Amino acid sequence: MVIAESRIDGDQFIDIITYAKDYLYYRKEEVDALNVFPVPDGDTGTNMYLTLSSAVESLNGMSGISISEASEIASRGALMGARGNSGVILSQILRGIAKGFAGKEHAGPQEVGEAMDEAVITAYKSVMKPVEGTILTVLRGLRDAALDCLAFDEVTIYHMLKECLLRGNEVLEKTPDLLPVLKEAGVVDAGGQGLLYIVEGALEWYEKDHEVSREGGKVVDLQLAVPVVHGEELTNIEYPYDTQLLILGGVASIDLLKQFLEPLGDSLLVVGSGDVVRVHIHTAVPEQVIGVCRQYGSLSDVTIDNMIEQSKTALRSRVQATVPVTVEAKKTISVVSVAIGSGIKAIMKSLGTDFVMDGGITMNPSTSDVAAAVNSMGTDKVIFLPNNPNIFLAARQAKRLTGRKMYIVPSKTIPQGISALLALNLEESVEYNLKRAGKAIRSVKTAEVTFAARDGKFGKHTFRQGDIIGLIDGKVDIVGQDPEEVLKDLMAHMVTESDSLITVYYGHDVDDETASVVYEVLEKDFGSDCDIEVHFGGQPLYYYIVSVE
Amino acid sequence: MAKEIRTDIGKLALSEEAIATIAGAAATECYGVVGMAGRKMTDGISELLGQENLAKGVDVTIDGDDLYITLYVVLGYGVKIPEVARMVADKVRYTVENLTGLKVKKITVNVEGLRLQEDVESW
Repeated sequence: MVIAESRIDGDQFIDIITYAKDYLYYRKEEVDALNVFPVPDGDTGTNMYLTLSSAVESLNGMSGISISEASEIASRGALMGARGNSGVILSQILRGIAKGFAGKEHAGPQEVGEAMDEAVITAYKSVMKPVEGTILTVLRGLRDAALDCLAFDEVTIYHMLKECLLRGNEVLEKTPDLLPVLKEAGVVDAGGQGLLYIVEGALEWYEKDHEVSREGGKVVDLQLAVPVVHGEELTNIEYPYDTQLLILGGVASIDLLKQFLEPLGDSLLVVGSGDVVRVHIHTAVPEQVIGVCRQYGSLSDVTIDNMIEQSKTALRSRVQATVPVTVEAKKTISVVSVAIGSGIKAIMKSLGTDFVMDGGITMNPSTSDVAAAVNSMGTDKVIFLPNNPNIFLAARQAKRLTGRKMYIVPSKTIPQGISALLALNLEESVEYNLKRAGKAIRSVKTAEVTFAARDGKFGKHTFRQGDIIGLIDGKVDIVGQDPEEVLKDLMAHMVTESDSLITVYYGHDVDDETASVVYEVLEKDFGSDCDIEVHFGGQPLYYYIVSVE
Repeated sequence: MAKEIRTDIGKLALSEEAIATIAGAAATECYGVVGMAGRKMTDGISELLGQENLAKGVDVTIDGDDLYITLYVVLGYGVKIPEVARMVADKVRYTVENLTGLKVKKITVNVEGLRLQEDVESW
């Protein structure tokens, strides 16, 4: 047996946490959907994934280090990148694990048990009144299971994880009994579920590991189990060649290699440990994958499997479970849009957007986020609406990265994006749609009401931190103290005789009552010439986003 | 000054102290918060009396329909401070607005200290 059953070292720790991160990636939306707390923390899965990603990134390129070092680096990475409540807790869990592994070269079952105990102690230390029925409760269940396992002779880490997962799931099932708000919503705790997916990922790493080790290989087989609809026929997949290879001699930048490979297929994995980098990708063009990799070093163990053939002959049932289903064969154009705020996102979805990415206002998606979103579409042609000038650059770079035909509609604001969506008719050609969208964008004026994040000056306007500012098409027009007053004044400046529709999207910080007052005021002032619509946008920071057309 | 709310069956007066208690209870349940830092004389007195004072470290000001809440918190050492502070503000706002029906205009979170707890307590 090549892989040590009884203990893990730093490199294996890195492999496990990396694998678990990818495992969580495919399940983060599911975890997000478990949220009950309506306002904050509506994205538990995403936050946990981003936190874990930050931990993994900090380990990038490391190898040959002790488990003490590896867990310490991961803990720091998670701390720096902690996002949201569950992310902060996860960073504390990793901190406890690092404490437990401190000074150790490698860890056996005993050390893993101790590390989990430290994780519980550390995680509970940072809260005054721990709420039960949360990720903390699940963590304790995991620790108890691990410690119980130690009572048996010859227990392996693998069996410990298995037992932990079993018991963890039992505890998770009980979270609604401990936390009434979960029961009301009819869900289990999202953070606890996210934590269990990480354990599940670690366990799957072991299972894959053993499979390879039985065949005598040294490198971990990192095929990802992408959740799929079972029984799907594999005759119509876009990337039929399961391509795997090793690059020897060390790769300078794994990230760069990933960027080159990403457009060539999906299920991409690039995993390095020192001089050997393993590449796994599902692609339609294996020769191009090999060509790209060849530039990085000498290649070894190249395998190319045709998954369609495999699925037909059902030689390896494992493969069937790892192929993502291609979506919607008939459509030829997909639409990806960027927005923030539950109301606005819902409106965009209802107008036919296939995927609304989070972003704009505070958090802009990266080039690879955009490329990944575009690549996740089931069609070759993808129309992209950035809805914010700060996303244009990432969009243009993503266009070069993605393997799809990506068309960028230069929408600078949410109202421009919504108008463009209204103008689309995806049964027509892309060219026709781009023309229509461009025209729609030019015909709409955008007003925004927000507050000044700091003292500043824009044109002839000076404002102080906390002042309410009104913008027309991105330029400061009014500085005031009251959002509703500023909105009213903005409208007076903006609405002309040729306008016929005013649509107000009110933000997360505006209550329904205020919004209905806004409606009445606008109806009184402009109702004779214009239709007034007021929708819940749910966007943060911006009290109102208004389109006038 | 207490906030008066008219209801169908009469007037309801909600004191700043009551709101501070709600805010304090919400804040202390937030992950990362290990304590509240007392600022007022009453905080000191109840501490002397050994009472649990949920409103400790919370200032509430009522101005018309708006609430202004200032929190003085102590966090555990080693948590990401801005993230925890943001969550405290979110949770306090949500809880207070939900339980009182009043609008929270502004929340200020002051991190008064960090606690380095090395004494092991078993859970």
